[in-house]
Amino acid sequence: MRIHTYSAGGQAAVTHPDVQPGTLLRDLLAPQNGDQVYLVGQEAEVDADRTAGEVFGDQPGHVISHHCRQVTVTVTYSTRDELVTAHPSTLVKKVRAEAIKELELSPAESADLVLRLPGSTEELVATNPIGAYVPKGTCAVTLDLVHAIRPQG
Amino acid sequence: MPEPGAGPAQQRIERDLHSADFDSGVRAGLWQQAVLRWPHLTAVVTAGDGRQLGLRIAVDDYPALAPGGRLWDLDRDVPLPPARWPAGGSAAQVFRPDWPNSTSPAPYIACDREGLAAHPNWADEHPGRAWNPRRTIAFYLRQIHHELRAAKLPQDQARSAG
Repeated sequence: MRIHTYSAGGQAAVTHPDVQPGTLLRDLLAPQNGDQVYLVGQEAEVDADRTAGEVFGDQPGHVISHHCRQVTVTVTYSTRDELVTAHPSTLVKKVRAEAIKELELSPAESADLVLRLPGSTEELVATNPIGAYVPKGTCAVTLDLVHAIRPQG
Repeated sequence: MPEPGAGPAQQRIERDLHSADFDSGVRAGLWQQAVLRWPHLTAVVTAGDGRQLGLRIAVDDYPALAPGGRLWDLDRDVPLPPARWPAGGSAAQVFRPDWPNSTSPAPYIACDREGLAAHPNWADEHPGRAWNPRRTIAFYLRQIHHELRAAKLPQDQARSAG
């Protein structure tokens, strides 16, 4: 079975392509002292001593090890900042939606908005957990909410 | 796992079809599992109305060369006629029946090979949306899905979701 593991600040996942169902999540993630293991997108802690097969059955699994129980995301849009609190396993797309709601932007205004790390031209992957962008040593991250311009002509 | 005897491009896309990025798109319902019949990938992307749109994507020389997509009738295994294309949101700007020609229209986006071939400046001017060899097929599908978020498919033509 295939398991994708995320870590604090790691951004991209590590894919474990041939995990035996009896493998402990702890052995895949190697959580350090104080880290908790969460199912990505479900905002639920999972026991690191459970096996991959118990948790994910025969489906690909997504799991994150993180030191925070909650992260604070400062979203900068134009000249405005909004704070969004999230679980480390919350998907980026949910953080984006929360930020747009807090900023009171209409669907038309927000259709092309994407989240980026400051100074980056790359949008955060909407289906990644936000904790993957929150590095060790902090439980906060600042993101830019910007319009992804579609090339024309 | 990569097919025995497959070349580097095929091995690479087979690997990327098992990546976290691709799997998370499936899990989130942005697209479905894809079928690779080298050198084409058949993919199904979810439109804004929850209905699903077929694509046939050329992936030869992947990832050095950007994927080349085309809207596809998955039931008949032929190009999807323009009358059955998605509408709404940015769909009309991206899926243009006349671009680059009416014989073989391609998505007008910076991560498709036709778009980049006609607009080499896009790579520098739109680095966040343009293809480069570090991209994966999940990036391409995410861009397509992004453009379909506000789109709808003709009710009598689209495949049922799920």
